[in-house]
Amino acid sequence: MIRLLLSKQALVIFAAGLFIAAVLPPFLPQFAITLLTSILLFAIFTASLDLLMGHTGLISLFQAVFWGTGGYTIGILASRGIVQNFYLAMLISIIVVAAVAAILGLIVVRVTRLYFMIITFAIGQIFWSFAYTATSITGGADGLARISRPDLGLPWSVTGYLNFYYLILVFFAICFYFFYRIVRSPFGSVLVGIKTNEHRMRALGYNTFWYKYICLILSAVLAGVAGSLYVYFDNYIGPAEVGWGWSAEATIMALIGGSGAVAGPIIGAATYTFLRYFVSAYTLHWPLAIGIGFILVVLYFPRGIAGFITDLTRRNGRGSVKD
Amino acid sequence: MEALRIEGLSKNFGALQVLENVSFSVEKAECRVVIIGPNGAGKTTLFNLISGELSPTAGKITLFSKDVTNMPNYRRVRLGLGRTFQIPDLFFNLTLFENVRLAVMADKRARFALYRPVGAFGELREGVKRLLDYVGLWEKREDQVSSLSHGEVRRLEIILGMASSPGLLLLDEPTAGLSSSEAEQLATQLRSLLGEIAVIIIEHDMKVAFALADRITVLNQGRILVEGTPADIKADPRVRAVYLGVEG
Amino acid sequence: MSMLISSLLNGLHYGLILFLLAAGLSLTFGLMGVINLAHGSYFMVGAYIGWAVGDATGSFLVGLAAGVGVTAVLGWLTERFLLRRLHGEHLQQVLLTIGIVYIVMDLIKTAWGGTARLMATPAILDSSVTFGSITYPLYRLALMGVGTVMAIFLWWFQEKTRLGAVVRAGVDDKQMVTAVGINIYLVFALVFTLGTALAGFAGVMGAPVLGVYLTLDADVLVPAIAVVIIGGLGSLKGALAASILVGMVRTFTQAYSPGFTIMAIYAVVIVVLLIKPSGLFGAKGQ
Repeated sequence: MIRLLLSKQALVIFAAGLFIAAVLPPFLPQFAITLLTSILLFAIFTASLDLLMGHTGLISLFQAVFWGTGGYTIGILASRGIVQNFYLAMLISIIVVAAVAAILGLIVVRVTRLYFMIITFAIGQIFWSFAYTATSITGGADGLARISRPDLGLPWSVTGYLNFYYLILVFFAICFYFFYRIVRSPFGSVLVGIKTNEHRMRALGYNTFWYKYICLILSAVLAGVAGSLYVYFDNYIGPAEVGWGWSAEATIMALIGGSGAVAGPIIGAATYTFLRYFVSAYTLHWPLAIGIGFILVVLYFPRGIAGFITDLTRRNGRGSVKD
Repeated sequence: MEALRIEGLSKNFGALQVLENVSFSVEKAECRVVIIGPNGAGKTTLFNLISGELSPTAGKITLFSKDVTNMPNYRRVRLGLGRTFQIPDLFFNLTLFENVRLAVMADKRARFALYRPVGAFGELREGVKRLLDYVGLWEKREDQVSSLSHGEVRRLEIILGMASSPGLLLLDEPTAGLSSSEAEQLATQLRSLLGEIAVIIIEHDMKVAFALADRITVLNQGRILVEGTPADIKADPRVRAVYLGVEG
Repeated sequence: MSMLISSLLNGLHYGLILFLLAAGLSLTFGLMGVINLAHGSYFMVGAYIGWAVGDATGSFLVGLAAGVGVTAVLGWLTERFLLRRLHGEHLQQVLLTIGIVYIVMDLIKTAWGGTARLMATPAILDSSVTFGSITYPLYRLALMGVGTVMAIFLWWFQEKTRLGAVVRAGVDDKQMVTAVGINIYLVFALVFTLGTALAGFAGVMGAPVLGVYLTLDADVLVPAIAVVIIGGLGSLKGALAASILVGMVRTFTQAYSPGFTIMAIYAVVIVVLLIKPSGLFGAKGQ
């Protein structure tokens, strides 16, 4: 088990990282700050998938559905001026995403692992095609644009890239704090039990359906929050953000980073985003690079970077649980 | 009060009839019933029906006076049923501590807690220590299951089944794969471990079976052949006939 | 009336192309548990190679042979050197196939650029047939013929040959097949290669009708997965029935936008999943 990155040491490292993330940006160029902003949001997105996939073992191909539902909710509310209040809009978005997950979960959580994969793909297609065709609601293939930065009702405006970055940093800290708490909680250990041996969990008396169901809703809300904030970041939302390509990217980031540890999603999102940015600056062959890189990770580093680091520090057969 | 009553239980898989019209009961305070029978007699299937992993084709199962015939397995655990598996079904990538903690947590409200770290729940740790101490594995609590010897795995399997403090425990071949001295050791441990719990044991090893049993039920080809005390069974010619050629 | 018949024919011929693609996908899925998300990519490779070679040599048939040959080899390489290392790890295998999608996408774009290509219909078939009040392109009829022949061939293969029996048994119970002493890996390799070869074949045959362009892989994969779900894992019968069904849905919703088509197809998928989760012809217990 990946314990090193869950322990109190990790908390200290995380706090240190957060401090650097807060203090460094004013000295960085604009492109770096916007890059970091997107990394923070993708990290939340990846963490949401990790909760479902890495901790509970549910292989989901539709994570973008929740990102996109959150995103389109904000998009629709903001672009039409229906709700101008940022806090209210975010709250509505969270409720909508949770509701969608609650409904989908009833269908989707009952099935076996293999079918879960397939049915999530199918549901993803339906949402994507709805986003693509319902032009009057979602803007169709063009999506919704000209969504401006929110007014927080505070003395600081977030229209500028630096202040917006700090807003996202706050959300990032909150989301990862919740992620950390869930993962270390008894509920989190039940999820791991389900991933490791669901049959035995049921034989021990656990009604595994409920845990998977709640996990799905929590995962969806995290993804939805990230997707909602991304709309304010990008001032745009389109059907691609609901599609399986988008879900696939979350999967790639989750795998590169490694599942089972809190830092994994952050490492994965950062690595992927940095790589894409810099490789794309020099060559058009980013898809080739990521395709090969991804295959290499799948074959040789299945537990991702976080897993690799933990393996280096682990002694034979013993974990290092901090209880 | 009866811990378990089975009436007319049958199970087929398509054309294959595995169990036919099996009926018996186990008293609550009764210690041990051992089920023996040659391979293919339907013993594990019977367990799977009692614990709820399979549904019967016909018949009725009553557990602590409640009809559980169609109840899913996790709900039967809540009523007081525990079981172990013939092929150890453990959480192989987790430590012993984590394995037992999952078992201990299954009936505690703590399992719903989303916010506090699992290490903060002292009751869980105490429960784990108590169980691991029973089988002398507390020192190895941080080890991965994959590093255990077969005998240790079997002991872990047993305490997982006992973690919910069941009133009725099903032990499926607890000594399988152990050498005959290890099996005897385990049998002695079991006698003290089990105390007042009602237990049904499937056993292959005749020495262990006769040593542990208050009552023996012999299953053959899906039907009960004969039931009785160990002395009765030893003397019964039908049993010997069924086991002819099989080491006893 | 003639509009209706034309539409039915359109649905049928598209369905048969889809069947060729879905058959490989379904078998691979049913036997190996692998959702080959790169299956559409093999289709696309077949289409591009078929077009390129056909254009260079002037012969449709040579192009066809090349397309099938290249995709068969690629499929064999993929299974032998990539998928086999991840035996049993379904998620990892699916992820691996995602990587292949990206690679193929990039290579094709590099080799042939982003503009759509036009695949010429083979000269002999480049005419129309008139029956009654309907005029219908000969090539599409030929396509349906070929598709039907392939369906029969696949049926014969699965039902009447030993290898087919092994595959069927493997779909039901892998352990038994191995226990009986058959080299399951060889079976996997053959089935996977056959699947990709079929995809390549479908790609070339379908090219004059569907076109040759960069997002072809996604455009055919999405309906193909729907077919596999509706028809049931590992069932050829199911794949055929579902392909025709999906073909019809597509043709009759094409008047609206392409997005609507997908929505309609997947609405059918969801309905099937809710009523009979293992698919129309799938085995129970999935």
